[in-house]
Amino acid sequence: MATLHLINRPADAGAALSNCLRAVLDGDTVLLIGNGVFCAVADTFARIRVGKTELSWCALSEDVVSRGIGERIAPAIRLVDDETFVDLVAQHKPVVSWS
Amino acid sequence: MNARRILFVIAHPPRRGALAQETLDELLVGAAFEQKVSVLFVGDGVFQLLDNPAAPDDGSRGYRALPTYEVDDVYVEKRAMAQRGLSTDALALRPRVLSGRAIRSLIAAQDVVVPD
Amino acid sequence: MNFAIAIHGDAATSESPRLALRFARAALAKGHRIHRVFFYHAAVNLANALVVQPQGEADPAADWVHFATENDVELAVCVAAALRRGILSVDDADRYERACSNVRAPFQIVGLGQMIEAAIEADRFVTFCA
Repeated sequence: MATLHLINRPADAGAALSNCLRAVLDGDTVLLIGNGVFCAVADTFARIRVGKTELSWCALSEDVVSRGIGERIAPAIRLVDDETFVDLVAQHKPVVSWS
Repeated sequence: MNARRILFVIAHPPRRGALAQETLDELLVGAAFEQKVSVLFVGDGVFQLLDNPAAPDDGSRGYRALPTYEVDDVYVEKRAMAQRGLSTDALALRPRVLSGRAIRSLIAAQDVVVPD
Repeated sequence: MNFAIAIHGDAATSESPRLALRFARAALAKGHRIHRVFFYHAAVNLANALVVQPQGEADPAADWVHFATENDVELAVCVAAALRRGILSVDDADRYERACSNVRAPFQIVGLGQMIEAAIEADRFVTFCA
């Protein structure tokens, strides 16, 4: 079963994103939550280097909307609601939180 | 019920206050419950293993005592060590040094991962 | 499925209590169960009955109390983390000869073993970092 990675900080706020990206495998999902959704802003996301790993990128839509960045999100990011967050947890193991 | 594989990921350098001790406490309780507990130090977390006799009496000193609590599966990120100019001689323990690939496999094999 | 939720941050400095509550609500809405919500590190502060939240401001602690009461969800607060931060049960206030206790119902003070027990029993363990 693939791993679900949760990131709750922006790209430049410490090592959460970089630590996470060294720990991902093909097929893993990265879900951006809280301030982590700032990683999904198009210009920021374009600078993220994952190498050849095949990842699914998601962000909590409520957090994107409440931060007023709904129009700025990179196309590769799938916006998900809280119930889909629950589905993602059910479909992955383990769930790894990076901060 | 089979023992769960529980991995503690230590990603932060030594921090003053309760946090280091509290993460260590979780780890030790996991071991006491006879779960398959392991610890992985990544990024700046590797500094928690530095052999530092001057370390204040907080959790980072406690990681050195892991073997006495029968927590033997202690791992450190090879790349994090290299980027910080650390060799295993500089550490207070003899952890297994893991490549990126080994770390990814280790995480994928867990039931539960607990962050610090 | 049975979920265990751990929260590490407090309401004043972290979004984790609110994010975790949204997750918990969604989990029940989808028909899952919550084995336990475990409050550790600064998150124990949500159990402090003495906190006075200004009116008109969000109150994640009150929201958790409401949710747990309505849905019979266990809110477990680690005793060691709580003592360090001045959150004391009636027994602990007595034991440590403090002027009062201040644990807000239905938060319960428990040992750290309850977090490991949740990790053992639940199908999934999700941590909301500070």
